[in-house]
Amino acid sequence: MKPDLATGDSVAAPTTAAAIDVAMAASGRADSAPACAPCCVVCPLSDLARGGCARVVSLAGAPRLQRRLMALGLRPSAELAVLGRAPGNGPLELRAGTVHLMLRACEAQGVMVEVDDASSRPAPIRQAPADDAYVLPTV
Amino acid sequence: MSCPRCDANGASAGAQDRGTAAVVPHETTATWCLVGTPNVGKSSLINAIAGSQLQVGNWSGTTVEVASATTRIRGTRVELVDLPGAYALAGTSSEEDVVLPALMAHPEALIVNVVDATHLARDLTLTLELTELGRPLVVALNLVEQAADRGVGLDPAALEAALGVPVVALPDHRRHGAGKLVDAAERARTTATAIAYPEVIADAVARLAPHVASRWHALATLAAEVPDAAGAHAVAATERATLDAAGVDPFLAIAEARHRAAVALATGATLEHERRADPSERVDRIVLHPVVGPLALVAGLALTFHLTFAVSTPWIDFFGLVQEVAAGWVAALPLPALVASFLSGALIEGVGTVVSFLPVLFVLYVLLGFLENAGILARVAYLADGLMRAIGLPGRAILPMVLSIGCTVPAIQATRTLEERGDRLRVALALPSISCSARLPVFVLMAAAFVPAYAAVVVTGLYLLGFVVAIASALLFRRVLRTPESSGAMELPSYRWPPASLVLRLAWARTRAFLQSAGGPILLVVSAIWLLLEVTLPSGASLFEAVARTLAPLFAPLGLGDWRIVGALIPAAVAKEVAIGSMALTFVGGGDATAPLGFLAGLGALGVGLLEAARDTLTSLWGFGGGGDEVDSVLTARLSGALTTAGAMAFMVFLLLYVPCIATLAALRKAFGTRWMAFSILYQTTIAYLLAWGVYALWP
Repeated sequence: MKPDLATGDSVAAPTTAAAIDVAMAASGRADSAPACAPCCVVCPLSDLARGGCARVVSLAGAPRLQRRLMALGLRPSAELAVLGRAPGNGPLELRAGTVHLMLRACEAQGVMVEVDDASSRPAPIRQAPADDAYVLPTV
Repeated sequence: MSCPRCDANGASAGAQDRGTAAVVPHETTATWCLVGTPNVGKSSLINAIAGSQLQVGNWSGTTVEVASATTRIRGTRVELVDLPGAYALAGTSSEEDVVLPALMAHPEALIVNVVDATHLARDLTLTLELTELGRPLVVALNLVEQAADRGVGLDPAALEAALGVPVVALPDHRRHGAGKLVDAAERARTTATAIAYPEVIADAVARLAPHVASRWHALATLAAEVPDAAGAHAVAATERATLDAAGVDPFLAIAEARHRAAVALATGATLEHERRADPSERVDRIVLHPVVGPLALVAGLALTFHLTFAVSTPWIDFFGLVQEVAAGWVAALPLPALVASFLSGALIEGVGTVVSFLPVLFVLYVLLGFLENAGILARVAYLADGLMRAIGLPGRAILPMVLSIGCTVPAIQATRTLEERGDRLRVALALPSISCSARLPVFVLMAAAFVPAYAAVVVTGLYLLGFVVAIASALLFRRVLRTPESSGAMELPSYRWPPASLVLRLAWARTRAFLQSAGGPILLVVSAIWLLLEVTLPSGASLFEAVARTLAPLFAPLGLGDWRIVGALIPAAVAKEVAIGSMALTFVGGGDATAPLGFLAGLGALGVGLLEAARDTLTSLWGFGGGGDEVDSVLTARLSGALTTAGAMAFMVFLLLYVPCIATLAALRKAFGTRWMAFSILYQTTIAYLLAWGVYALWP
């Protein structure tokens, strides 16, 4: 579990880390999906191959797009899996938490993810996060 | 058209005290606003409670459709408003942007938050936002059975206790659910949410709250999700600067705190979780397969196109027969010639034109309602996105593009499935260039008359030209309008079988709304053209001829100097195939082709027509009737005398691209307003003139 953004504030009673882990399991991925191990490489989501799985580090782009991505479950520290890519440079098919969604490759470029397995990352890192990117603080 | 709900009793008295509303003897009114994420089943709920009263209209000043229905619940007149689906109160698309202003416009309204039990944590984030508005709230848990199928059992009572507002689980058998919802509505109350925001944020909210409408507004102001309220700018700027200095990103911190609170709530309300995968994903492994997917897309689009036009065609023919029979009856009445002519030539003709769009639009709306609510449209968007992005449009635009080969009017109606207004406008302005089936008979006739050996090549070329101009227009408007483009970040909702009653009622409400707004303009134009043909000038020529002769010099550079050719373009504004009839009249001469049927013979013909339409509807499901167009040999011979081959080519190009037909214009006006309709007329006519001139000049 990533550190709480609420700067260590005491959170409402049931919101312990353990409870969240249970909830994540409950409302999160299906049991068949492999759990993403702690990671090491950071790359844009668009570089992820089909079947790749990763953890969101930061979002970039217009605030409106970022809000939408957050609402669809692509929030920093969320785990996601790439289920497919549409033909003809089409969008990516993803699962993030319970949400099954599509995302254009150009929009996925702004989503930086950490992957545990270098083999699911075919291309080298293409761009650094933009200046206005929301970066998950590490403690 | 504005939202029906906005026009009357904006501030309905007596609605505030919901607890006593049920026992007050005289009629009180109340408003329920249904809020929830997209695909959560809000329209199914409104359909279950008051489906027969369903109405659709655009939210005032927008192109966003809002469905509403009025019903009487325990002595209270309740207006149910189905707001567009939204993931958060601060919108991320032009549809979502409607939700917050709509809620603020009805401060007395009860908020019914429909929550998807299969995405509980995500949807509760929106619920928490709603509680922060400080408004009476009821939570309706939908799709509980689906959640159970996926191994998630829910405890509404626990959620109610944790959340502090009534929570009802809507069973799939929704009639019962509606009753439970009404009970809960009487217990609706506000709640003080216990979201643990970081201390700096909580302090900032406390200082900002007195200056803005609600706690939610204070938080959104800090996160810069809404513009600063008047008078709160200084305080807001100070607070944001303080947070910035403290190294806290308010947007991310607030979102994270809400998310954690929602996850905690969801955990507390979840009884069991042996989560099983969504069966939809297994279907998607086939449907969204890189090879199978595009094939399925082509097949699906072809089927949608076929059903839209094949199922509706027998009924269009039937309404044409009704029109003919009615005209025959009018002719038999002892009326002055002018009155009889007006009745059959303007009134019956005009009403007939309006009604002829009823079958095709209804069938289209049924299909659209099904595709949208079944989750199929999202897959179309996914599969077509790569292709459509190449011409600067989102994936969903493929459906209107394909439909416009049949008829531009339903195609423009189909643009409402696009999320952003800018995209809708760009597509709708591009669509009239694509050749519809009404233009085909004219092309076939002219091509057969002038280039018999290459008729097929010429007609295909015209269709291609239409597509090229449409795509070029879409690209041009993307540059010029610079409207925000719809995001490609979209949910792929689970496949679902939508209730037939909902699909049919929505389709009927949408068809009605179109006929109401388009009926007047169509009648007006048909009457104007009738007047042109009817009025005879002192010189003996008809007004129509005089107008056509005046316009003819303008068209001489295109090789269209003959007034009869130019004249054919005027009534063709009603429907482009009318050009043939007009030319037949001016070149060959009149003479009633068919004698009017008598009263009894007319009735008989109607009965037979009705049976035939019903039969053809069934047979059309697996094949087109394929009625061939017979070519009038006298007309083609005389046309060759009046036009050169180059002139005929210019005429076809001009007819393809000039002023969209009146029904298309009415559809544009309904969706985007009179100014964009006028723009479309000017734009199309300019393009048509330039290209027709080019073709005439360059034709060997």
